[in-house]
Amino acid sequence: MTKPRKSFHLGFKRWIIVAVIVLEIIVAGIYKPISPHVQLAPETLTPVVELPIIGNFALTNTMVSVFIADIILILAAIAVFRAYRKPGSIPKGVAGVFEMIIEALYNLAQTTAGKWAKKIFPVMATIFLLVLMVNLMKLIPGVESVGWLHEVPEGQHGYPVQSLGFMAYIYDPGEEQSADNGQVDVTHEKRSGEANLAEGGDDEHGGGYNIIPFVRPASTDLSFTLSLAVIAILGVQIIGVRAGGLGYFTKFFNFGNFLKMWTKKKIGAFDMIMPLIDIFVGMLELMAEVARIISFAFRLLGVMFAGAILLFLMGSLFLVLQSGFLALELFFGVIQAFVFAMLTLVFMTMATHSHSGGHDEEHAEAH
Amino acid sequence: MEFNEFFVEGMKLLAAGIAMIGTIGAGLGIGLAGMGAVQGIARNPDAAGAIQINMILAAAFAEAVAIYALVVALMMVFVA
Repeated sequence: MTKPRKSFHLGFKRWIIVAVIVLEIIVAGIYKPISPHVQLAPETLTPVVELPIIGNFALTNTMVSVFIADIILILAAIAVFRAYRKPGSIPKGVAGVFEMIIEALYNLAQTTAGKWAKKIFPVMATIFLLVLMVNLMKLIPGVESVGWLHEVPEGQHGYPVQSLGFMAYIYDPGEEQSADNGQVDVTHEKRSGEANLAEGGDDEHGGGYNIIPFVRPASTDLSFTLSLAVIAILGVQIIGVRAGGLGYFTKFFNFGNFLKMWTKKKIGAFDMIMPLIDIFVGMLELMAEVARIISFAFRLLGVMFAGAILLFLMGSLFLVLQSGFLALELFFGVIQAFVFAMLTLVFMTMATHSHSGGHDEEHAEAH
Repeated sequence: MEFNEFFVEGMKLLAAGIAMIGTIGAGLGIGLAGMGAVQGIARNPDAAGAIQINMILAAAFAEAVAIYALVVALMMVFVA
């Protein structure tokens, strides 16, 4: 309140931001955003080839995003390494940012895992950084909107295009609008997305085009999230074995009391029931591990895929509202990466506790 | 039995909508987690950091249920 006008005049960069927003409104008015083709399975960029061990293989656009994230992380690692090569230097720039992230994560691991923090932290931090990079990739302009053009088959919904010159095409709004004015039921058909019901009254859209984006965030692909979940849960088992030896597996296959039962001279009813309950609890633990994998995979996939569809819908329905949802997606991307890493940390920490410690881990099994 | 394809499409959308009813429970759960966290922080502001982390974990568990419902709904619309 004391200096209202001074801060208003300062700051050249904020005027650039305002200009970009105004430009966005104008461009969005001319080239009206359209909703792209929504597909759960990742699109293939190259033809399918037969490889010796892997089998059928095709480069999908979600794999491209993982490669980009890997390259970004490796470059960041090199930058951090160069910044810390000189002893006593204060890191700045990229190294400073990564020092902040790593320090916060390490403090978290230290308070949660205690003496096991050094073993658990690399796995957790790797998962966090990879998922973070992949999640935030959808905020880059051009991701999911630039790609190969392909003609949709008859009976599906496509969009008309116009040429921009050298092998480049852009969505042509003119024909679509004229088609809108001509027929009323076309607008209904547009809202229904890809499911083309009115094939008869849809001659204008018959030979439309769609794009296969070059880059699509890998967290919208079940292969990525499921493999990451399997890696995390396998890491949990490995940490458990390192902490408790092979006795860790008595958590799942608890036949100890069952075998001990037969050595007793007198067997009461209670002595017979309790070992069976132990075996049953072990089976429940085994099922809980599988449920954790599914929970891990579908949480990340659901949030990110729904976020992508939300961005598509908001971008195609309203002109400028998508910017706000981009901020929301930034938030969700960071939160989901944090949750994935945090749950890995917590599960690993629980695996390091000795099995005889009782039932203190039930609170995390409730999902 | 043979159904009209419009009927099938409409039923798919209706099923997707019904599947999202499951998010009521997740909303309640996240609300309870937030309520507990805010009350805890109000009583003991020093423990805000630890409470926040646990609250985010609990909210993630509650949210997972909503996301299962969302995945079912998305499959109804886009896959099935």
